[in-house]
Amino acid sequence: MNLVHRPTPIARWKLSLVMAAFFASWFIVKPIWHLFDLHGPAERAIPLAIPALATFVFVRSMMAISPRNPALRRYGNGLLVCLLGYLVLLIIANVVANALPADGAVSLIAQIVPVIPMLAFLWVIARYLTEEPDEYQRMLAVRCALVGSGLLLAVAMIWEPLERAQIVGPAQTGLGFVIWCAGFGISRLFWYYK
Amino acid sequence: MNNCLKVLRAERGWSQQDLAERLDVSRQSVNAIETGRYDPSLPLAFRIADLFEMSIEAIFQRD
Repeated sequence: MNLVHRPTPIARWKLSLVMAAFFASWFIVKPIWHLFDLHGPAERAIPLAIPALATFVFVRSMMAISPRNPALRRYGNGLLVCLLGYLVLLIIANVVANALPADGAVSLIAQIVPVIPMLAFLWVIARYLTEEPDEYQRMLAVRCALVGSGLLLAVAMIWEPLERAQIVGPAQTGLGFVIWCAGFGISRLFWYYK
Repeated sequence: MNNCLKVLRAERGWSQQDLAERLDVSRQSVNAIETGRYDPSLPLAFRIADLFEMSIEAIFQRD
């Protein structure tokens, strides 16, 4: 059996540094975003793109550890396509929304179209969960998805009575995806380091 | 469930990565099985048994 190829394990501190850099980039990218006066749907890009990008970096790191895993490679590439598609469509939608009246049908479509890559993102995750040949990794991924879903439900359940009591403002539903990604990513890191 | 995977691996001078490549799983999976954090499925248990040319019950024992 060929044992010549030995993937280089990614040092934990390097992985942590990359993750921290991506989360920290929020503070660098957002002012630049505002510098170009990008409003409307584009405003959603940063809070959604950063956790997605961090997830992608983590997956690429995992791919370096298991380079012969085709399911993981498809998962990583799928995430990249969805992420880039989302950002490109968001910028196009932003330009269209600014150029057309707010109540126009085209403007409405422009608001919805950027969400399509995010729906594809869910499909990419579902595909990975069914295709991952390594049963332990598959179990971890399912566990992480459950943590993400649990965190999202917990935040929603706590937020609802607080909102009714007018202690907090209306929930921003767009943050649901960010919360799910955060739960998924943090639990993935936890199991990776354990 | 207990197992003697670590001993069998050491007897052959294999690292966890070596065993993982032979079983076509990740090193983390081998580590999880060895430390008892994860019990493999029956198909994977058969692959492990075939690799070491032993029966499943000779490698995995009840608590």
